[in-house]
Amino acid sequence: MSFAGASDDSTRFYFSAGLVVLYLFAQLSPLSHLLDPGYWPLGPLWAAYGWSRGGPSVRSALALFALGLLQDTISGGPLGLWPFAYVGAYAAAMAVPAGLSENAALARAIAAALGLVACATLAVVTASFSLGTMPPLGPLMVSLSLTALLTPFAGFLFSPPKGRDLY
Amino acid sequence: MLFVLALLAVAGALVAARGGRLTPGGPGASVAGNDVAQQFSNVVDDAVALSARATQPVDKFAATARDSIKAAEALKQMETQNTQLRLEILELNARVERLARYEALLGLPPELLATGLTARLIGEASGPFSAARIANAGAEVGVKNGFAAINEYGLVGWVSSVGKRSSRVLLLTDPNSRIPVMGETSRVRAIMVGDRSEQPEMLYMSDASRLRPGERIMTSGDGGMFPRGILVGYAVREKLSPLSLGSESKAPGTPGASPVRWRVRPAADLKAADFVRLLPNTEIAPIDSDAQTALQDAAARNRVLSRPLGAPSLNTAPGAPPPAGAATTAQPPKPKPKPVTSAAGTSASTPVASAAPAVSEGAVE
Repeated sequence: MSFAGASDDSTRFYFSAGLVVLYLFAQLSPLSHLLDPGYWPLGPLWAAYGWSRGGPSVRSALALFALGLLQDTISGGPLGLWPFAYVGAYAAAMAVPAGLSENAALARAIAAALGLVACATLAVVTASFSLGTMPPLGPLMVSLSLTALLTPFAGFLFSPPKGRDLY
Repeated sequence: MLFVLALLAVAGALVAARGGRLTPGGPGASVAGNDVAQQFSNVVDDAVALSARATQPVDKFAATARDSIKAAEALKQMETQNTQLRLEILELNARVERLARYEALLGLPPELLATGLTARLIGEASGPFSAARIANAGAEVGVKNGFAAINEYGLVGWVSSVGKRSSRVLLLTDPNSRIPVMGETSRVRAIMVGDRSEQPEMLYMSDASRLRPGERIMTSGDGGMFPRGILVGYAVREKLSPLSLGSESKAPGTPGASPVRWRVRPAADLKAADFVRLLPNTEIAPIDSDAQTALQDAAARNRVLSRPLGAPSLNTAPGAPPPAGAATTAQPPKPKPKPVTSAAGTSASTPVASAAPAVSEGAVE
């Protein structure tokens, strides 16, 4: 199956969003003896990074908000934490300086890094407001590190068709 | 018998050896000696096999006898244990009865014993800022918010939300988890707070200096959230560097002591927890109106009977003449209607307990 070759944008979008939904529900499986669900990579962040390469889109932002709400519900975390984090990451990933568009690899790396930092910052701030204290950062750091490591491999699932990406 | 056969075997072996080595003459004589030794050896082997077959019933009988003796010893031991347990049951029954009488005398509202139901943890519901499990029992079977979840080792968590057929069990390590606990020996009270690490932290400790590492930590039952006395884990002291942030407690009277943080190592392995018992909250039984009236009557009777005959009424000032008929009629004053207070308030006033000596005075009267 080649996502890059698919022509229908909507099909690609909904299919990739469905993959994220499946991924989130997979976190409900009793696998904590293998990997604590708190350490699982943040699947919607891959979507935020991939969709940001296609330019700003209300549909993508709404989808990320909904995916964040789903993750909040599934993980039992503070409600509203992940929606803002993912939408913020989506916005931050699009803030790549225009001058870097010629160097696609560098632009993608910066976009991923910006998205990651924005997501982490918003998540920690929202969690600290919700919990009333500084949240534990260990699991989040592990989760973000795994997300960053796997972004080059998982990001292509959410990338726009060739010729339609910004960089 | 086996000993004789063994002797025969040894003798046969010796004969065989001699037949091979000491027979004078040529090689023919040696061959003849070997044949004799071989035949003798065969006879001995047959005899040993036969004797083994013959002694099988004897061996079986001996084994059976040994087993019977062991079984008889075990039976005797169990009978002794049974007797002890029966005695303990009798003693416990007596204690339960005595406790019930004490509670009645003190006017303590009874604490209902938790019964609960069993569920299985079938899924995860965790994230970087949360640690929870999903249990396969929900409102349909009576699970409610706040139920404590325990397994055979100790407290696992508590029910934070309930669906129709499932519920979410918040683990002890969840940052939202706040559980009132106490040390089993020191009785130090604290609030155990999860921080997503494997050992939740103890905050707001009443007197940290009395707590000892390794002490059993149990639920205190404060607030009625959990039944009292459920094992939670064991106290762990963590030394902090002076630059460490977070909650610190310094043992009083120990100048220069390094700041420490107390944690609880959960008794239950939270990752391996599968079956849990969901216990309802500790409920204080409300005192019904009849009981309230009886308590008020008892209090009023106590006030009257504890007053000596001819003494001035409680409502009159000392030295003032007693009201007419006070010494003769001794009418009990009309009990003031008491508003129904909370369980704690009712237990604080102990009218029944103070009525006990009044009865004896009444007998004198």
